[in-house]
Amino acid sequence: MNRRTFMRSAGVITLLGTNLSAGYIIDFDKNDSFYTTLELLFSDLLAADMPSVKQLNTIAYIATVLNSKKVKENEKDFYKNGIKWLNEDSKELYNKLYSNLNSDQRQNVLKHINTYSWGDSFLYNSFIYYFESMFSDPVYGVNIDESGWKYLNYTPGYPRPNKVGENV
Amino acid sequence: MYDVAIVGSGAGAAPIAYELSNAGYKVVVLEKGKHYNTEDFNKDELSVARNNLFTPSLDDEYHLVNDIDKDGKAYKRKQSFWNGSLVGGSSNLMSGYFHRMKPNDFKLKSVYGEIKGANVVDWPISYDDLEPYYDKVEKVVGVSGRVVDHKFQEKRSSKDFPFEPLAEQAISSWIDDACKKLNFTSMPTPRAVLALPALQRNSCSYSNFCGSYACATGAKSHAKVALLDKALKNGNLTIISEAFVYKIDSSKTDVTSLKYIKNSKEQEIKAKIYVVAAQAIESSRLLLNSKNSFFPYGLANNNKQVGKNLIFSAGGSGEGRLYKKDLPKSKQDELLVRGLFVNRSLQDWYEYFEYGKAYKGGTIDFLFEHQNPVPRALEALYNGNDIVWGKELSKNLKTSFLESKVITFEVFNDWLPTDGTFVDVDDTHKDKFEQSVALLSFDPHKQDIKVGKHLAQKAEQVLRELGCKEMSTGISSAPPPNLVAGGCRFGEDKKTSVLDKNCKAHELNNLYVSDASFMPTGGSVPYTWTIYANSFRVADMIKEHLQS
Repeated sequence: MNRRTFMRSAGVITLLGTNLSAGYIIDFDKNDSFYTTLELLFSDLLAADMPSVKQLNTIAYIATVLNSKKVKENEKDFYKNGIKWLNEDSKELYNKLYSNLNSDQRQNVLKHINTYSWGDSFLYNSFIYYFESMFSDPVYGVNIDESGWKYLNYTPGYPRPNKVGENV
Repeated sequence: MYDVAIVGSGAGAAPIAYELSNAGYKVVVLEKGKHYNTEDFNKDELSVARNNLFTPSLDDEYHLVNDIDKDGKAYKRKQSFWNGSLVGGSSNLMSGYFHRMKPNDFKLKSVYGEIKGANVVDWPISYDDLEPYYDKVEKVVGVSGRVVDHKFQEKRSSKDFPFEPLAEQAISSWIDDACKKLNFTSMPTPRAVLALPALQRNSCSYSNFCGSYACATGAKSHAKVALLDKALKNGNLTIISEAFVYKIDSSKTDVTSLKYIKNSKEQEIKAKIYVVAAQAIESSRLLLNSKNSFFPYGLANNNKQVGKNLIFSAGGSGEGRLYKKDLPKSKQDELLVRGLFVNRSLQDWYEYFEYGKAYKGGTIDFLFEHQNPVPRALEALYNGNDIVWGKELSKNLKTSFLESKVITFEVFNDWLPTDGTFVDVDDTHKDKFEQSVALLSFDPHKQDIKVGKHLAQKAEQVLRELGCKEMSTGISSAPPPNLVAGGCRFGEDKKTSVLDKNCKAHELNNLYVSDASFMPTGGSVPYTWTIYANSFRVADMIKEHLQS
């Protein structure tokens, strides 16, 4: 599916942001361009005072979600396509991949994709993953040293989980 | 053979299991969900809330809703109306806002007259019939609170609640002050949560995560900890969990067995009395799926009333944000104190007049927005309709989590029963057990919205008086899945009801339905207290039945 096909497929959007699942953190290829682009994307989306994706282990969390059997294939496909379409947009505007743009250009691309329904959904889902890695218990291998909680002086509910949920 | 076999283990089932097993009868409870214990529960948002630990996957089990698309074409969409599949049912996950129905709720038609387009009827029992059981729930199941006299305070056999109210957040007294200025009578919301250890249970830990989460201390008065765990000690109760009852077999006059699936195997159970309490939609579905030669339209359904007159709680909710900076210095730190309860309600307009006509109104509860952090953070993601990031997002997050608090109100008013709101089954859609799924149709009455808006305007006045900003209200006719009743209404008329006044099926000698299905109208309060109370009442009827 390409971006424009997606835009024509009314109804797909309603699936997004629902039933997103997570799992144990898995090993993944950190040099894979999908993940390196994702890391760069988050560095563009987060303010300096916000916990980085390294502090929260967000990229590994996303890799785990995208490899989980409990997550629907169309949801995984959409998110993977998001990076593809981000690069398509970058090429359309600057004739370069997203990772080869300078910071101002990347911000312009983000503003541009945010005007599309797929872009809005892609950014929204990116932040779902980010916030899940920010607020979930460190038992999941995210929110390292409770850095997500510390950022917003957040106190979790007690008792906290002492193991990964049976359904996650 | 058991004396009593019960389908379901929630608020409609547990009082019967408790009372009958305590009376020496052999009782078996069949529950579709797992059997967790208090020590299994935690406040893991990712598992419980983000990934719906306690409800089935929609791929495996779903509900269908009849709908119309934008081109006017009819279609069926999948939707979840699950509320909690685990021993103790969805009472595990309730917030426990406990209000009794008022005397007039039992005679809506007599008091307020016929309403065109609505199937309003009087109940075959009165408030006085149910009052002793409301009282029993307070004492046995556990309700905390403090009675404040007001215009619509119902008659009580006990002067006050048996358990002290929960500790309150500073906002509670601010709401009281605001209400005084507005000449409204605020009152502490009775809660099915214990503030202090009692009833062989621990007190609340003020964890900040109550509704939608199972209680990790046992303070919440859910069916398992309040009743089933105690009944298990008498040696007469058997709970079979992860057992899905898919069919009830019967002769022309009596239920003969329950068929269920456990560990992928079909099994059967026999009893003298059978009780269905699987929550309103699923109870009707089970009866409709239990067709046989004597009941070709479904069990107890020769009058074609099973599934009809499904009702929900009408109304909706609203909210406003209260900022620290807008409060006097002395109050600023108090606003963000976590864990304590708001617990304030208004019932000043349980009945009101407009242009000389009396309307049945309802209840307003105040609370903080749910404390799940991920949805709160996602709200901060937007300025208007646009996603923001970077410094703007950081600012929004800090404002949301560190500088303000969202005060919410919920409105409860009658969802008037109509011909167009009902449960059926769709034989072309099967769940993972190969059973026809429930097919829901909704046709809410326009008066539901009118009354809901009237009440919401009063709640908005309170939020404004508190100094809230960014206020919004959503009164809609969308059916809330966690506030559902009806489908097997009880009544004296065998043509228009499924159950008699004792909640026994008109057409069968030994079948009772004891969840919220029996309710012909729902009152203007959350249902759980009434479900518990009626189930204790039905338990007494079943005792008499067995003794005879």
